[in-house]
Amino acid sequence: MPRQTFGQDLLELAAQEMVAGRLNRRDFLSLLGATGAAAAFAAGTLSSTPVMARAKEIVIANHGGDAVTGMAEAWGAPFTADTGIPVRVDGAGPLAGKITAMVESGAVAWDVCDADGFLCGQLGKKGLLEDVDYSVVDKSMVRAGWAWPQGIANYAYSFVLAYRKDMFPDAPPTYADFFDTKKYPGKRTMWKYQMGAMEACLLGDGVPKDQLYPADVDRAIAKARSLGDDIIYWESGAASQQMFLDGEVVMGNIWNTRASVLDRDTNGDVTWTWNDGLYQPSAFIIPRGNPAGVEVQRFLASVLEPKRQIRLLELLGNGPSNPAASAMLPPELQRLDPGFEPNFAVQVLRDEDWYEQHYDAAVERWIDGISG
Amino acid sequence: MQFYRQIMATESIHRIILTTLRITALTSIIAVVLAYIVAYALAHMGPRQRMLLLLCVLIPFWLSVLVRALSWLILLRNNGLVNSALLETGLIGSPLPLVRNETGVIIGMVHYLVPYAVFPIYAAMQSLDSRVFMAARSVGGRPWRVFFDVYLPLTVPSVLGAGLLVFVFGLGFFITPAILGGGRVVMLSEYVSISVLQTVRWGLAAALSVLLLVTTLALIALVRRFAGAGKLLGAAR
Repeated sequence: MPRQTFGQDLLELAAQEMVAGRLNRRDFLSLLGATGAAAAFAAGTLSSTPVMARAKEIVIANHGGDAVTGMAEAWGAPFTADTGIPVRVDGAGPLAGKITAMVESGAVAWDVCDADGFLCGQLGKKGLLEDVDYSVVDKSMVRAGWAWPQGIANYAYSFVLAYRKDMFPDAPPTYADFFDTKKYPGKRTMWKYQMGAMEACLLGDGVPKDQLYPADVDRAIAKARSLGDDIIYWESGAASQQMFLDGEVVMGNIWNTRASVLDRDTNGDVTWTWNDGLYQPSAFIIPRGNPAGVEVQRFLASVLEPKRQIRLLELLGNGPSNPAASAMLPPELQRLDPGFEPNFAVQVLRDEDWYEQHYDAAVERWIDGISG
Repeated sequence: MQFYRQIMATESIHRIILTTLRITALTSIIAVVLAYIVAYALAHMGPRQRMLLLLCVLIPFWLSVLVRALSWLILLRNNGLVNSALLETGLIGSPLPLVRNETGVIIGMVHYLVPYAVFPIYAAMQSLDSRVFMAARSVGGRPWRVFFDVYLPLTVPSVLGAGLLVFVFGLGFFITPAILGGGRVVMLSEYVSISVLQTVRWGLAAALSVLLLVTTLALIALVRRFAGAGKLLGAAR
């Protein structure tokens, strides 16, 4: 099964939310009609054929599921209202390999792709991406360091430590507790694809927060293996959530979006701590030769507006990349935003430079190390 | 060439290849044995029961591999149906680790592959001339001797054919191990997928794919020599 990315998971989560009646279906439907997202939705979810951009139209590629409708509503609809340019969302999953293949074959179907922050530099340096035009896009609207030559942070999310409240009634666990299976018996879960899990292992092995990078991957693998049969690796966000609901695991290193839904659905029986969370940017990148050309720059600029950033947090649970948006959140959203200052202060910021240089080798070593 | 050298020199890739071969071989053997029993039953029962059993083989055959993997997960996990039933009857004290490990992967793969082995073996059993067995019995062969000396040897080509078919399928498995392996059972095709889509090491991925292809072709050649092409094709038709 191909790796499910965070963005993909968001979409899935939002679909469940709508089915559960927590997202407004009427708004959602009128929006689908207005933006033509229905076709994109169908194309994105029912087939793997990429949606080809027509003239004067922006096609966002993200990871499917609920992010298709979420991004269409939070970012596509207001942009269309401002400019008259339709925005379509294709949930085909723009992984690095697909973007590379698309650009190299000269058949680029996407204008912007939802990607990990460090991919901006990684793919950008291979000449696969267009530059962001910072005369149109305002660099100061994202956290320092999150505006790259070829890409800009569009939202942020965290890997957090989720746990069973009855096991830790007084204070949330630390990653030292996470690896202490004698004191706290039960299974744990971490992401299969290295990210978040590696940092959790290092913190649990006593590496200080500010010395995580450059990361010692082999040390992290050894720590992960020390859990023996008490570790289950999750592949999809839905699985990480389900394992808590089924009582299969007692602690987990999971996405904050899933943690907050678990907390809500279990009335706090499963909850999470921001302590030692891994905070990281997602980014919009423009594949070289994108069909809409420079028009896409205005779209990138529009996405960073605080109101639109907050709308995405409401719809999908992921945090604004614009600190100004985090600062103006209503109280009920403050607990949910990984970038809200008190939450941000106790977390670790992922080192995008380290990931840019080492991610490929690290994920492969990790997979080798945890399997077999 | 450098990628082939990389495959030769990288210990972790060896481990993944070994895991793939071990799981696939185990799966094939179990699947073929089960399939032989099912096919034997199919070939020697009344038409009504045969319809029923065929249906039982075919229905899971039509289900998506994803659905089947997830169903096994629900059945076999710690608080799943199988473990809770065993716990309640007091047969076991703590849940058996049936899933999210290699056992789970093998159960899932065997279940997927049994129908693929049933049909070639069944077809071969049906085409056997029953007069041969009557002849065997008329010269005084006991039922078990007739089976082992006459019936089994006559169906061996189809068993080999089915085993090969299942083995070749098994080599390419990747959804089932990804779901039922708990993240710790990584087989070759999943590794190729990671190399293509995520880490963009296309050279290595291509080399591994070629390796897989060559292995498959070599296997087919081997069994052709072993069983004879005509029989194999006839059996697998």
